[in-house]
Amino acid sequence: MKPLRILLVDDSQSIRSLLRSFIEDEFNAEVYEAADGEAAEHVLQEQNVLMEAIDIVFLDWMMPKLSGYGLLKRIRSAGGFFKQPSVVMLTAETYFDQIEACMKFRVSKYITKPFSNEEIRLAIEEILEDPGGKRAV
Amino acid sequence: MPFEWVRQNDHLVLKLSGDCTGDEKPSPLDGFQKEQMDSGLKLLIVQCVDCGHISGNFLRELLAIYKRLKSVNGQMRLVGANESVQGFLKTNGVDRVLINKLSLRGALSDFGLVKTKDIDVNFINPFLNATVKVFKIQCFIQLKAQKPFLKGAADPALLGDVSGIISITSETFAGTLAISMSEKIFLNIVKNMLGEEAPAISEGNVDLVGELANMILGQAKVELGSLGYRVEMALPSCVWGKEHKIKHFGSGKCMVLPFETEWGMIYSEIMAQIVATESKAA
Repeated sequence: MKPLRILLVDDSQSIRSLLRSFIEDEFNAEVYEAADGEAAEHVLQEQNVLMEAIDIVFLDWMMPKLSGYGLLKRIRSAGGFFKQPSVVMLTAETYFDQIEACMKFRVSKYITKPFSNEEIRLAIEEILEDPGGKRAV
Repeated sequence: MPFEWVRQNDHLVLKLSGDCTGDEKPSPLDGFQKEQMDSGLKLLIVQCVDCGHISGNFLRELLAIYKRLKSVNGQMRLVGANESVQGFLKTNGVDRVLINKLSLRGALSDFGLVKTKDIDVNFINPFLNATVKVFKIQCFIQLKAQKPFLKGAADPALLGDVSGIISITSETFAGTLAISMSEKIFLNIVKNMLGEEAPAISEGNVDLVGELANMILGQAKVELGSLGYRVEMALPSCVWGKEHKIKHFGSGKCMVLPFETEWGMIYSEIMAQIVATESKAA
């Protein structure tokens, strides 16, 4: 069975560690990490080339080099060979227009920080049930 | 009807919603003339937050209102226009006339209707509530708020051993949020959140305090929004070490919100200085 591959994109190492620990325990997933949007884009493309594409991206908004929103737009503009992952925004950005802007780029879930493990679990479970789905915040 | 008139003490508000075609009866201009005649008010805010689209006809109505205001030395501001509406204004070459502000506070500031000096005491509750919420949900720590106090922004000493700092920018004020705590509290937070016993503050865990500052500002800006402030966020940073210091951005007053935990005190510092806004006559 194909393992679940999850990419955690957040400039806070502590947040990545927190997520990794929970996701590995609960979902037995292969977890990848990136500290900014550019590094994340590299991981996404490389995994795609290796035919081990990322299934779910947890994406912070405010990051150095390339923001989460910038990366989201790049991900969704990629076509052809690139296999589109599900994206969960996990961010302290809380304005409705920001949430709305992300939803235009097929975000599966928008979770605002602070967050609970339960919110992470639900997001992953809902995506696994309906990978192409688009849900409300 | 995609719009309604609301009369405030010192200004009129035209609240738009949905798509505004300009075919409405009575027309926006007719409505304005009546409201203006009855109230004598010369300041108009066109609240666009719930407006999706405006037509050419509706734009003509707004421009006619603008001309009418101009003739009586009045002013007009749009608030919260979406990208589509802003693009439409720009395409028609009127975006420097029908000026859009991100927040109501920004528009009122242009009209000279908000105080432009000391820190707004209304800042306290959003930051207080946000700090309590973030520590409860993310760190599993219940904070007990103590009485806030002021310190000079020129006083650089932070009150803890480790601090997360994030700059705050908006149309009407600029400043800094810092969250500061002792090493003991910080290490307990690391333990609560990451399940790790860390022996000391280190490069590997200190980012956590910056992330907490980020979350607090993110939560506070929701409540600040309801007060008419729109706040933009930046990347947080962290400093640590005994008697470390901070240079707050700006020179306004610094408000300290103390919180009690079972391991000692946590401090939220907010330095916010009202910035001068453009005061162009519309």
